[in-house]
Amino acid sequence: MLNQLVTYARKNLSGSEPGFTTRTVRWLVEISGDGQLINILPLGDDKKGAQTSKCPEMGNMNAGGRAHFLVETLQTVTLLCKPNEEPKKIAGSQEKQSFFKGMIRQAAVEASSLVPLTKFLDGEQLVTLRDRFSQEKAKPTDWLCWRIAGVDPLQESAVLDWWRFWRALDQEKGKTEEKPKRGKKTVESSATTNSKEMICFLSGEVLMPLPTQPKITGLSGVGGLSMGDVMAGFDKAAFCSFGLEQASNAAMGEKSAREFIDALNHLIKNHSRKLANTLVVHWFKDTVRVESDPLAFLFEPPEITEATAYNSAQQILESLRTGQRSGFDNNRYFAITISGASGRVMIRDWMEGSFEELITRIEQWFSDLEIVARDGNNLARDPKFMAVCGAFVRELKDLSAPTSAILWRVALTGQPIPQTFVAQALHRFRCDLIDDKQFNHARMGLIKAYFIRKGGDHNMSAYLNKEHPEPAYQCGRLLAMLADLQRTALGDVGAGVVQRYYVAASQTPGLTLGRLISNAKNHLNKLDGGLAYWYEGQIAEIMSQIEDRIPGTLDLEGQSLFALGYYQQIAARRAGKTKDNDKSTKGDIQ
Amino acid sequence: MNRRTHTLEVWGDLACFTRPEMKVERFSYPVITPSAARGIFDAIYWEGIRETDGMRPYFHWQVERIEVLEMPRYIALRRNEVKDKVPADRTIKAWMDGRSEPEPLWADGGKDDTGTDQKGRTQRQTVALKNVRYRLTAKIVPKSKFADHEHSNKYDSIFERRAKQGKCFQQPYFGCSEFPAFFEYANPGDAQKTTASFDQHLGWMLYDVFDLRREVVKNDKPFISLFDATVVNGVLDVPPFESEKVRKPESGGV
Repeated sequence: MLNQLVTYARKNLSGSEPGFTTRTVRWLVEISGDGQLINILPLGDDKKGAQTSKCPEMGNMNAGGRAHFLVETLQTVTLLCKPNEEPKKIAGSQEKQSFFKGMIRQAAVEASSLVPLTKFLDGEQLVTLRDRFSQEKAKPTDWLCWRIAGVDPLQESAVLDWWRFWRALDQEKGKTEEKPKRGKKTVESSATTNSKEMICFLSGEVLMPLPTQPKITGLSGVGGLSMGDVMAGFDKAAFCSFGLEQASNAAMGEKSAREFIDALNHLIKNHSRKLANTLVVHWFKDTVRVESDPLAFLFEPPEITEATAYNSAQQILESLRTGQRSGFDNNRYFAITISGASGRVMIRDWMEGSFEELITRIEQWFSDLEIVARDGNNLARDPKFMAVCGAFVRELKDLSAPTSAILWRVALTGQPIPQTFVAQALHRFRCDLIDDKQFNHARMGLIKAYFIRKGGDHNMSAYLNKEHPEPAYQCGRLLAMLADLQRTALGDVGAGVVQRYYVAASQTPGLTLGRLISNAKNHLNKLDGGLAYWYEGQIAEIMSQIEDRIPGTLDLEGQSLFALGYYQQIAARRAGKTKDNDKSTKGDIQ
Repeated sequence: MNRRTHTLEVWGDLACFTRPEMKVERFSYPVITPSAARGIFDAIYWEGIRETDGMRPYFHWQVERIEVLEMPRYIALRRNEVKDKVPADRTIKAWMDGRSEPEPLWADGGKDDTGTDQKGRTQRQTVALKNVRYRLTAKIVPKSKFADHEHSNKYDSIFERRAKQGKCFQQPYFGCSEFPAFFEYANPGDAQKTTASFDQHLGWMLYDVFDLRREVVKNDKPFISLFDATVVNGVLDVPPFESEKVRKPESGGV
């Protein structure tokens, strides 16, 4: 799967190169040709800054008082610190600043465009710069870049070449000075020898594998560290093999590793969505325009003024079939679900397939979830993916990462919905019903989709199915009708039939419904003749569907059908009314 | 000389063919690797002569074809694992000889108990495969000393007899020894199940971790070889180990 990220980087990120990275830079410092401070400018539309590619990166070598070249934090460049910063950290920053200045001086020998910057750094203007940043309430951890005499030094080939040369020298020096690690004395020398002759998992070339990989950032919201996480990290003996150390256990060359990391960082930044405690990242082999991206429908279904998500997917599929849209013939989608775990990137799922197959699955997903709206007049709007996830839980924050990951796979691959999900949805349905809350469309759609995806003929339709062969479904309808009758006869009685008997009726209809039907006679007596006859007719019609097959008990699937019958009957009763008066019909039927 | 091929149908409830780049929070390849398939054949029959300089095997197994009979389906598991591993043989021998004090392998405990975060228990994820079923085809490649016709026929016959009787030296497994594999010898004329409609380019996949050509097996250094794996219509064709398609450290890889 990482090979697909490398392919993505080669196609879309031309600047991917070892020693360089993309950073979110917040400030631009403008310097004149004679080394005077002109101005400081905030970058980016928001307060986070702008994505800046080709920033020199020291990698893991910046420990021990080292700094990155040119693009660094305010704390390192200007010694802007928190008010209560520890003296040890201030001393560390001074050491880094000294290193930073030294590198600029060395580079200025080769690249004359940096000479004004050396003058600026050596003068007293750094104090002025620090004061300016203090006034702007900048954070010490914000990154800054430079514009010198109107030119961005990161665009200067002389500057970049110097950095490449310096880095190569430094790496070579690092290798020759490398000391054996503490506690690794027992590692066989053979392993070290072999690690120099390994094949890159990404390129298939024989090379020296990276001992440690650059970090993948942007996972701090899903269990990752703010400083970043590594994809291949092996710090415990149990996860190393054959005496291999660190990332040699999954040999990757520097260039390929940089490419897949840049690709993943780019996708996380620009094409990821949070699902519970995970991030879902997706991309396509060939670029797909936003309006044709079927996965966007799952997250942001178009507003009601536009076509529904289901229709959009249908339209794309139809245009692909008829040849109106082309270019997707060999296109493929890739979707990765990731989160962070103690400094490592945890892959939770991986999916790939053809573009057309994806559209078919999305179309199927929305088609399966289609359900009548609670006002009974139309179909409910296509739910966002997170709304479906929310059908299982009281609040979205209670949603577990595995649940959302499984449902994501279900949506994209057309798999059956796990029964445990329906059990959770049914539990929430009952809770909401008893609390007189509104029906949740996504939840009802999910219960319906469960039966469709389970296979077999379950006579599932989005609207009420009066001919449904399952007694459980008809029992649900019957309870809805009895509750409606009670409300019509007595008005608001507080805890009505639903609040008192729904759970019992859905689990043991054979014991409960008979009692409710006999009680319904009292309610019928309170109604005028015409209305009473109408209710009698409706109840009789449902009873004729059940015949004498009222189940003694219902299992989970029976209870789900009961809930669906109950909901669709209520929606059908509301149909034709001008507005969805939730106050008078919440839950059912008060 | 054209060698006979043997086909096994193998299946199991769970499997994990860990991708090396994700072996801390484990994530499985969607199909069995050639090395794991070789392990299944080895478990049924692999033999050699024990000599002073190590084990001299009669042959090695060359996996030729992997057919995926069930669509890959993933399952996520969390397991408590130990961070440390069993010490080297000489350390254990020193314990046995009483030259040093035995040190337990910590199965539990944190930094406060063990004094280091390199020992004790940790929880890790495994994304494994469930309900796997493959048809594996492989052939015996005799070592130079045992390459005559008579020997070769004997190895083929022994394997066929053992596999048909369900015999194995150890329980074959799918990637992790916790995930047992069950097998059945498939005769050439038997009705065969169709392969799953599964197509995927897997990139550079692990071929094996040892040099299969070695004549003597003893304390082998790792020799990690890769090949560019593509599953087409549920079939993964595996090139011979000697092939240039299999990238080996010695070959320069290109």
